[in-house]
Amino acid sequence: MSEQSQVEQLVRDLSDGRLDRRTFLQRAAAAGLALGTANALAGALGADSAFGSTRAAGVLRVRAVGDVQNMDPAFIPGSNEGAVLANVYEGLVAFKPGTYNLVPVLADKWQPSNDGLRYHFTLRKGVKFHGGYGEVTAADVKFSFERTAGLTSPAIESPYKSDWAALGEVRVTGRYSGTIILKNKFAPLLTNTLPGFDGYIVSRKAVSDLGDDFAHHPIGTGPYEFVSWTPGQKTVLRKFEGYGGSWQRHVKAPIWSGIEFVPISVSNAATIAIQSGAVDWGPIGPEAVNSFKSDSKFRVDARTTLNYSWIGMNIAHPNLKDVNVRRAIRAAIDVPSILAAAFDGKWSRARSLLAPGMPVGYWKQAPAYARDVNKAKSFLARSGVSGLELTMAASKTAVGGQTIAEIVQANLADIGIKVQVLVQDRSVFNQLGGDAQKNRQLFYELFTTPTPEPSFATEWFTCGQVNVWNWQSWCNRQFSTWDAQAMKTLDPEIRSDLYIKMQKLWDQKANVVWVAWPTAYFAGKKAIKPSLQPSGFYQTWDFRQT
Amino acid sequence: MLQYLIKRIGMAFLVAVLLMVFLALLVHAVPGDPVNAILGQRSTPELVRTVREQMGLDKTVPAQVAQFVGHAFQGDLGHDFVSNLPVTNLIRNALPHTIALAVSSLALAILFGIPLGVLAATRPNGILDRLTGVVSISLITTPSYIAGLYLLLLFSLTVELFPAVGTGSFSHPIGYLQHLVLPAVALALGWIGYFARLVRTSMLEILNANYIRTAYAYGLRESVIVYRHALKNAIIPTVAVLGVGLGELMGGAVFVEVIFSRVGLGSLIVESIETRNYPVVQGCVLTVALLFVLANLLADLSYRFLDPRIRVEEST
Repeated sequence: MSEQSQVEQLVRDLSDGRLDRRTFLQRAAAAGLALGTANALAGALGADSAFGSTRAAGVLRVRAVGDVQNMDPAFIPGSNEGAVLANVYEGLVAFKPGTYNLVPVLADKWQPSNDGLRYHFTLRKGVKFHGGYGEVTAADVKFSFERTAGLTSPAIESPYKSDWAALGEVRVTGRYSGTIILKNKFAPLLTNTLPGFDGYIVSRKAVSDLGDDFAHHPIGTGPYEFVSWTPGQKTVLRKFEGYGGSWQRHVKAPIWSGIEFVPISVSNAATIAIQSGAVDWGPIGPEAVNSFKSDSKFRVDARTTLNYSWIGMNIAHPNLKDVNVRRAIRAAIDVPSILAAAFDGKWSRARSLLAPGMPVGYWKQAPAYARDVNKAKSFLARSGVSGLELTMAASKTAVGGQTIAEIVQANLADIGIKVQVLVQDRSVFNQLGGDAQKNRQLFYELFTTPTPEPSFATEWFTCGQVNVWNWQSWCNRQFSTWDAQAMKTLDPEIRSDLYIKMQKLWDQKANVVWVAWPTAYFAGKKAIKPSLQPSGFYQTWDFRQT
Repeated sequence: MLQYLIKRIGMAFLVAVLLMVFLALLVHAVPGDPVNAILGQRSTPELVRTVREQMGLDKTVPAQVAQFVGHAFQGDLGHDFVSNLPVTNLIRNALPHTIALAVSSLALAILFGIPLGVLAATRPNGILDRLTGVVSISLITTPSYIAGLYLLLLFSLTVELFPAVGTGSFSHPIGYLQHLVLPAVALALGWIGYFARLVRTSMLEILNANYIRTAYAYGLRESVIVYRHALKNAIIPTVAVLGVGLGELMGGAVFVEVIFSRVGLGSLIVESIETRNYPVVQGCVLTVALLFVLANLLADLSYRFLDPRIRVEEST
């Protein structure tokens, strides 16, 4: 091949994306092209560098904390899939990017009934599914919701069935219209179920055609369509040319030609990947915040999540039955030191269950207990307990888990309580019921609350959850009753009062030490403006370039 | 020779069967519940029961062991609990990258470790020997994940010579090699030091042998004596270690794979152990173990070719 034809071939490969910029420059130089000329040519063609600088409307590379496993909205295992699927699927309604304002997306019209039991919807016409699966109809809406609720035949066993527990049926009234009919009032419908992935509309035909493969080949109506998943390497999305534009009533059109999610589980490696440009943007650990902030090439964003972490005490265990022992523990633990040591001082101190960002139920006056060793000793003396020995469990994967357990060990040693630290695999730590619960004493845990729905946080601590996720084994009928009542209460003020009363009641029982409302941190190239919900959930399709 | 080969293959087969049974028992002996780990906050007793039935975890341990071994012989290693993909697919996707990493690391270890050992042995107690000793011990004692992080900082972040993360694709060989260099070096460093020490010790012994003195007396060139006569014999213990080394590298690749976010069996095993994803753990460990057995078999066979005395001993 002549030098000229070699260069022509290289240029074709570069513009088609078969070569990266670095390889192009190397091969062009080998083919006799001057480096400056090759560089200019590559620049003119808008090629990515081998290390990933972002080109206008090019591919956005995002760090994912882990790989996707199952992309069926009815079986999503976690947030890794959630971040991908937010680009692929759309619901009838959703939160407008950057806010908790509910806006219609696939719905053209949206009308709740006065009693809150019926929600009439009319779909936008002509919105197409990816992959040639045709137009979205009310029958798809019915199928999507009833499928997760376990009402289709054959029924599926979705872990998110309870999010649709109140669903009676979706009645189809026309090709584009229908009504969601509830069995009872259900406040989380508009704060969790419909705006979240429970509300994504799937193609009935795609689910049927693809069978098990649907879990690894999502078909939605979103601005980006699924291209490929290379396990452990990347999930690739590309701009959907036939996009129905449902979001464009609220925000500008997406700019990226494609989005790639690259799984990087180790926090240090992710920091280096972002700094070196191997990925353009991504979530970072609290320990990396300062280094990004001090570098003008990067932009750091932070959002206080709705998640919460706490040190729990299992009151069913004989060692922790006495409220004065628990009060002693609460008074002895130094939460500010924990925040400084385990989270580099980058997470906010939690004072109760519901975080400040929760639109309903935040208890502003919740007490922050200061460490007081004398008070702790006096509580312990009042209990009459001496020579107490406890275990403190933390999961290996919990951020700062071991550090927290060790600080608790040191704090409690000051009041004469000996603590044995148990750092466990998640699968051991998460064992439910039986001997696991019987033996559980102190533990550190973090729960996530992905949507602005308080019941998502409170539901784990009711009587029905004892021996399941209520590891404090605290069963308070009043708390459970108020929780059930709040689920059926649509008035936000009345709901808020109920949740605050629940938190006050819980505080008196002294079976938890609230630790943190975690802050989610993100870093990326200065030119990238991320689109973040108040809780830190990111919608990559709405990322912009500044 | 044929008899020996049949005997060794028979032993390898027996090891494989015992290994499968042991593995199937081992994962059940480890505490932890895969269902709760997989379902997370959303698990309820009813859902746990359903998923447990789907996974076959409601059967007795002997039944599960028998099922695993029976299916494994048919090439079916079960399905990933989370993604529901066949484990063989996951292994097929990860194995070539782990082999590429292990083999390239071993190649680097041979390429640098053996000459370093020879160099040290031919100048015993000299500055070069002492320097090689210090370097070798330093390399042996540096964990691969520490080396990996420093390599990342230096060559990906500061110099921007190699990509920081990822595996690349076999369809783009240059890109693939770029992604392979740093992980392979991180994994190879310890083995370079180890091979250097091993070869030095063997070489020192051989260089004092009568036939080497005779070769010097005949006036043969030093390079011929060292590389053609001494090294050929000194290398036999190293070849024996190679078999174990390849297996160790496959297993040891885990930290490097995690740090460089590479696809591979190591990272697959770590993720699966955390969630007690039994079929994936069993399938991956079985694959690594079988490769280990195979590498040892090949090493055994190869030093029969290198050392004629072994053949003579067997024939008499």
